[in-house]
Amino acid sequence: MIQSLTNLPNGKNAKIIALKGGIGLKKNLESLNIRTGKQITKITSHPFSGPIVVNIENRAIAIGRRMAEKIFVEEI
Amino acid sequence: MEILLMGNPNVGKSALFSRLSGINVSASNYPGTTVEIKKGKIVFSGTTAKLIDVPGIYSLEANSKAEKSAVKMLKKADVIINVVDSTNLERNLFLTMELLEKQVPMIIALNFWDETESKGIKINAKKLEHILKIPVVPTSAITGFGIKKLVSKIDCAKKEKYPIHNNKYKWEKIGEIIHKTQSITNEKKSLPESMKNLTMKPITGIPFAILVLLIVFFLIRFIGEGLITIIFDPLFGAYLPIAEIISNTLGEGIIRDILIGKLVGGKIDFVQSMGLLTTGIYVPLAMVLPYVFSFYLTLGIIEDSGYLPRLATLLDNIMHKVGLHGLSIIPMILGLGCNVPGALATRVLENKRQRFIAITLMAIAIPCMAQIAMLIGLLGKYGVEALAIVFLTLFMVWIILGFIMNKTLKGDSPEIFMEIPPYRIPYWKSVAKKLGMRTNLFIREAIPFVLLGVLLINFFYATGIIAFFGKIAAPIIVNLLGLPEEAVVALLAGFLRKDIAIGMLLPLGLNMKQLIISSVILTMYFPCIGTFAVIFKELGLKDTIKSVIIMLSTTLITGIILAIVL
Repeated sequence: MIQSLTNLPNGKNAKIIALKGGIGLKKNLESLNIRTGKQITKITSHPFSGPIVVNIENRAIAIGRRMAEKIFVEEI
Repeated sequence: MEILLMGNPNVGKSALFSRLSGINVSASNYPGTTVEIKKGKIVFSGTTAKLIDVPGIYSLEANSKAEKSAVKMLKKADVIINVVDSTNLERNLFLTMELLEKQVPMIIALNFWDETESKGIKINAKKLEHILKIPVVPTSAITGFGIKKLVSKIDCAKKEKYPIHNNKYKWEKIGEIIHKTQSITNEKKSLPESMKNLTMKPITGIPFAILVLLIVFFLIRFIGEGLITIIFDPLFGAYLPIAEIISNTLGEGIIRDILIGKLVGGKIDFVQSMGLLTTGIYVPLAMVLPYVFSFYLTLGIIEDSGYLPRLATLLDNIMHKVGLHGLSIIPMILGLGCNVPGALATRVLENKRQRFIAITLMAIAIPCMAQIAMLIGLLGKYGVEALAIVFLTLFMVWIILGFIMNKTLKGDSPEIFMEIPPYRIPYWKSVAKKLGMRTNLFIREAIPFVLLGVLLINFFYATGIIAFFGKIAAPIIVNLLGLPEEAVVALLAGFLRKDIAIGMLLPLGLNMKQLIISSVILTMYFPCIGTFAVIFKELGLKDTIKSVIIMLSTTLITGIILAIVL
């Protein structure tokens, strides 16, 4: 099932399927290695629209909620 | 000749810079340390060149002010030393690919080489060199490994003909390179690695953060108080008879008034006398310096451990309510030490609106360590309660004002998007170096200003300027805020130094309520001159005026509310 990163349960591994946003957002995400086809683990999501923390290639990255909504993943 | 050190944030660039140039620079384990560009000299094969530590960036498409300055500097570069985190090669190579396209002679430092082994990462540096066609040197800025070799290779820096490709191609190419040069064997999770996740999750992270802040608070207080009791009080106790002798030798007159100041009950009072040789050195050295030292020591350890980005993530949702995002906690914490570096550190924020909000909030509601130390000294005798009221008021102002600015100011604030670096055990040499640098800066900046302040205050008194301003400000100070007319002297002194200004409240014989109100007002109404200069530089004329209007009106409202409520 393809879903937004915000909906992926914590602790789950997933593969990035698509980055749905403007070129600026895409380039921003890609510069931190968040790219289509990459495997990520969702570590946690902070309450009250706080950021989402993912692990990619052994690096933790905090992503704002609105940005994370545009990352679509498939659980694996 | 100009040599640039470029790389992602948190790849040990600043540490490498201090190794290569030998001068003091600040290096911390969180993104965006290099907000002010640091320059040094490097000597290699008999020539001296300029070495520039460029702010860390992930790509050449700049977002923040710090990143834009990095791209600009590229145009003048003769050689680039591209610093790469060898424990995170794939992502780091993206910037490398972008830099190669710029056709500037380049070499690569594979930094954190010492960490690859424990992480089970094997990189074939020779092969990488062969593929990229430029020199690649494994280094460790902390142990010093590879530094000599890196310097010797600067001469061999090469530019290769790299046609410009799109990002998709670049990532494919990076994929190939990684496949050919890197193998990862047993990725064992070390203890700090699993702990890292616990401190990032809200349920475990928030209690941990509270614990950390409490420990930090008590540590700062403990070390600060300790230094005062063990070192500075005895020191000035021994100095007192000497000052008395000077005082008696001088006899009454203007020279004694300036050097020693007024006698309180026939004796020298280091806080109240207001002489250059008494208050002028006692306040900065014996009351403020111990706290500045303990603050920067504690901050340095926390910074280099890598905890601050986690705190930034935890506080992100609160910071959004005031129009900022989590990363702004770093300038705010720096502001607690001194507002000057704090205001400069707002450059890590992406847009003008955020910087305006962050700087205005800091100038109004974040007291610097010099001020806090004096508040502890002054209000301490009333117990924790008085101090708590002051800090709670400032915190409320911070939140409410931030909320209002977020609602009323045009525009939008971007979201947090930040790497959380791994925990690292602070390298003591780097902590000590940074502590020395910051403390030194305080002594160099603060003491002349305190002395100047003391001098001017004497001048103001002697010429009747104080009385004049007192009359003008009386309607507000006396009627609205319930303070004596002479309190205006502290406000005037506050333009120069807040610590000395708070000390000036002492002879006024204020009660607890008046002390609280005047302490809050002194913190809020206007930044000290050093901070003001930076604010002006960072915000420009129009926004500075806007910010000052907000400061003055917020101060007045808060003061009146306190006068009614307390």
